[in-house]
Amino acid sequence: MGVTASAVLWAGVYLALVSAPLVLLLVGEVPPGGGVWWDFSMALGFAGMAIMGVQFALTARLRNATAPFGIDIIYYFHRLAALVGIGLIVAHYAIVRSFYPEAIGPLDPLEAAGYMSAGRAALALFLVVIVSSLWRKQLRIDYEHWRIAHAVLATLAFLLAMVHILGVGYYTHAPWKHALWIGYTLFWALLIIYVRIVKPWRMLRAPYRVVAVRPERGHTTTLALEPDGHPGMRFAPGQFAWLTLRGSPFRFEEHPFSFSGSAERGGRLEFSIKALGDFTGTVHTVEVGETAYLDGPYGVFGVDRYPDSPGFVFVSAGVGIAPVMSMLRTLADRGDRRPLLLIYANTDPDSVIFSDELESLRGRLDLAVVHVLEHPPGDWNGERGRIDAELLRRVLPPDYRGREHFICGPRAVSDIVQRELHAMGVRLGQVHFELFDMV
Amino acid sequence: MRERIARWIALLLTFVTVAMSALFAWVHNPQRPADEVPPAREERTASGEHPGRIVYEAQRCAACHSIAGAGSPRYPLDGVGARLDRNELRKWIVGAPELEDALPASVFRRKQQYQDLPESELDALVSWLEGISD
Repeated sequence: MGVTASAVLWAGVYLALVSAPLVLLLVGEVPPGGGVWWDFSMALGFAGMAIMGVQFALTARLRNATAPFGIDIIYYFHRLAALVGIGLIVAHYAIVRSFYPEAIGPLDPLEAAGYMSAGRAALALFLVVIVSSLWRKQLRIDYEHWRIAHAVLATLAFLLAMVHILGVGYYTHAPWKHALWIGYTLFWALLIIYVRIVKPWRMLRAPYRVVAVRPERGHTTTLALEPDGHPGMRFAPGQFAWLTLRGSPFRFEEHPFSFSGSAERGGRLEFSIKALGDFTGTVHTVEVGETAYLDGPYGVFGVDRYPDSPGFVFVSAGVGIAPVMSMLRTLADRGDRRPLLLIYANTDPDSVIFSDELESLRGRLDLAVVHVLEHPPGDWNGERGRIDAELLRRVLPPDYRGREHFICGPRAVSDIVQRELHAMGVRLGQVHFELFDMV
Repeated sequence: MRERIARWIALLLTFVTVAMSALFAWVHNPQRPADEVPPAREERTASGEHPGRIVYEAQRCAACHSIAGAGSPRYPLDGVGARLDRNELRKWIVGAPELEDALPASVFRRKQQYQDLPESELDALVSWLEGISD
């Protein structure tokens, strides 16, 4: 199946899963109408819950379902869908609150019916989950704590909402509907078991061993891993994996990193990691022989999806070179002779990761490298400042409109380059990027 | 490009869920005008201070029932005094055994708690409901 057909299929599966509860409400024996606004409000509540349920599936990293889109976009969509879901649930509450205040009963949980308090608590928890995700950094919530709290609170909110639905019971009176709703909840519970128990257990049974730790320029460390007692994984250059170091896969202290090595070098996997935060700041202390766990590969960012492209343009900034390096090394190992251009932005010469290897790769590839330095030394003859429209117009080859373009760097760089390339006549479908820093 | 597709799917998701919710509301309420909002009538019954009314409020009957649009419209009690006699009203309130098949299981279970109401309160509630005849 082609990528587009697969994407349409999975988008259809998603919409079907979200609509299923509403379809169920419409069939079989249903109670008499309670008024248009009343029933509209109830349906909005069910629809919001269906969306929240499928949220668990979106982040379960199901490889087949996420492959046609790229898992970064699935996480982006997870965020959009959460906003739609909470919007519907808030509308459900607001309509009942405004038009049927007597039906909603007292706020005090000591006086209110348990299932009504469960509904209110679910709404509050969903709001906490969303606010703490959208503004995690502003609220100064540590990533590790956020991740655990996100999973726990979202699950708790979902279960409380199910208590509310089954407690109210209007639409779930028929035993088969009751059973279906419980089955629906059970399905998500099983998915959580798969994500939190089955998957980590599989990772535990397929460990990797650190075989080399190589310091690079720009506070970056390359880790080389080899599978320990299993065949390892095959990846496409540009993809990434979640890496666990010095911990069990059950603790979910994993971090996503792009592969930086060649995809044509057997079981050996390399990651080049820049010291930017708490976890990445400790990577240089990793020693040969340590155990690592991987969940991957993921991602659609890569040249292998475009075998017919006449050439490629890469735009990187800082450690954004890692997936590009994987693509360049792989293309070199394959003896690929298509024309390549790399525009590579850094602050100063000392922070240019892989500068020597890029020079040597020029001998093995039809590769042009344009270094752009924000703070160049006095004798620098290359490009200065930041990547902008003027620079792109100057350095892009005449055939750039026919090539596929890959951008990897901070969001600001990615946005500018996407916009300028589009303005210069490159179709949006030819500009590829990976979304990082989602939460 | 992919971000744009994700945004479009989110928009489609909003449209599909709201449209299906509206369809659901419309299918369930064929006789009601689309813009109907229950009237917020101040004077719900003639007997505002009736002791039965006090029991109705204390027991939060409006969580499942409505009178003149106030409360849950799922099980309206308008005209209940004309439909049921005193004895029947009492049976419906406490979920008498013979009503087990007529009520959803969860509702039947919930009604059992009203068997513990003091006789005087139950009497007052029945008397008040008897008076709701239109």
